[in-house]
This record gives sequence, C-alpha cells and structure tokens, in this order.
Amino acid sequence: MKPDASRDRQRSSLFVALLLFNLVLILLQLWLFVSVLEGMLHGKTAMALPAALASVGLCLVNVWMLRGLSRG
Amino acid sequence: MDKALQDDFPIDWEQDGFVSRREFFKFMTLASGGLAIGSVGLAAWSSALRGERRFEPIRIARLDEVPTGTALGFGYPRPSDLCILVHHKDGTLSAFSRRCTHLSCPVDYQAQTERLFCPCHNGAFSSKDGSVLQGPPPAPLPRVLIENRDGELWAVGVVH
Repeated sequence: MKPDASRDRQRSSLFVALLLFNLVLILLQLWLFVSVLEGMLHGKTAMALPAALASVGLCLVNVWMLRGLSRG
Repeated sequence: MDKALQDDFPIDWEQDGFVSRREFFKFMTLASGGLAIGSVGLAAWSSALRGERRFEPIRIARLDEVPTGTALGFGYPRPSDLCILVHHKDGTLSAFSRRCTHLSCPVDYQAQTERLFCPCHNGAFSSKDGSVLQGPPPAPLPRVLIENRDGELWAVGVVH
C-alpha cells in the first residue's frame, strides 16, 4: 500500500471518529434541552441555567472540532 | 459485479445533490448551535417566569362580602385565569391560582381542614401559603398578591 493511501485511510478514520463524537455531543444537548423543557412544564426551573451553560459548552466543542477540520 | 451494478444503476454524483462528510459535519454543528440557543432561550424564559409579576389591578370584592372561613373565586390577571381568595378564620386573607399544579384541575376550599383540595387526584395545598400537603402536585400554587384598599380587595400581582 502506498504511504499516501495509508495516510488517507487514517485521516478518514479520524474524520469518522470526530463525526461520531459530534453526534454524541448533539444527542447530549438534545437530552439536556428536553429534560429542562419537561422540568419547566412541571414547575422546576433550577436546572435551566446550568443546562444552558453546558449546552453552550458542548456547542463550542463542536465549533472547535469543525475549525480543526477546516484547517486540516 | 461493480461494473454491472454501475451499468444498471448509473449515479451521477454531481447531479445527485451529494453531501460530503465535511458538509454533514457543518450541518450538525449548526444544529448544535441551534440547540444551544434554544437552551439559553429556555433559561431566559424560566428566569422570567420566576418571582413576582405585577399586572393591571382588578377589584375582587368588598371585604365584608367574604365572611371569615369562606372563599371566593375570581379571575386574574385574565378572567379565564381561575383564582381563589380565602378569608381565614383568624381574619387574614390569602389568594392563589386555582389551577392544581398537577394537571390544572380547579381546587376547592375546605374550611374544616383549611386547605385547598383537588378532587381529580386527591392533591391538597395549604390555604395559608399554597404549599403541597398531599398528593401528586409537584409544586406549590402560585400566590396572588392582594391589597385592601379602603375595605375593597384588589388583586395586584402573581408570585410563582
């Protein structure tokens, strides 16, 4: 196998891994959003702010990964 | 095999609206941003819901129209927002939203036990402070702020 082909396969695997991680983070955000919404409908608002901060943090991680991919 | 497959199902990727993995990643990051904005919006909404909110005052009744140990229903801030005013035996007054925090059934005042009872699922609240005494309600009743203006009772705000 040529070195370039090996490198491409390695990069492809890394890309898929990052994509899966991205999906996991989005699922976490979705879970946070639905949990807060459900809590609010039951009159519980204590988790809204921490969940929002966590969601923004996860979004920043996704943006950071996207920027890394754009450079590479 | 592949050749035969391509002959049978020729796909022109340029014409097919092909989405690359990189574009998919961008789309997912955009969705992540949308969820983050939604969560921040929920947090802002929840902080707006909490605490005391003042509305246009409305007259409920004269104080002498509500004998001690009885209750009177009224609507506040809109006529369709059911509330209940309780004149306690010790002469104090309190008012709450009449909607049970469980499934929004209207609560009734029980003078003997001095509590607000929800007949749907046997929930009960204190008629003094609106706290949950029994049953499935997950939160206290929102309190309606009352002012006594020269013997007339006015609703002026709601505390969640």
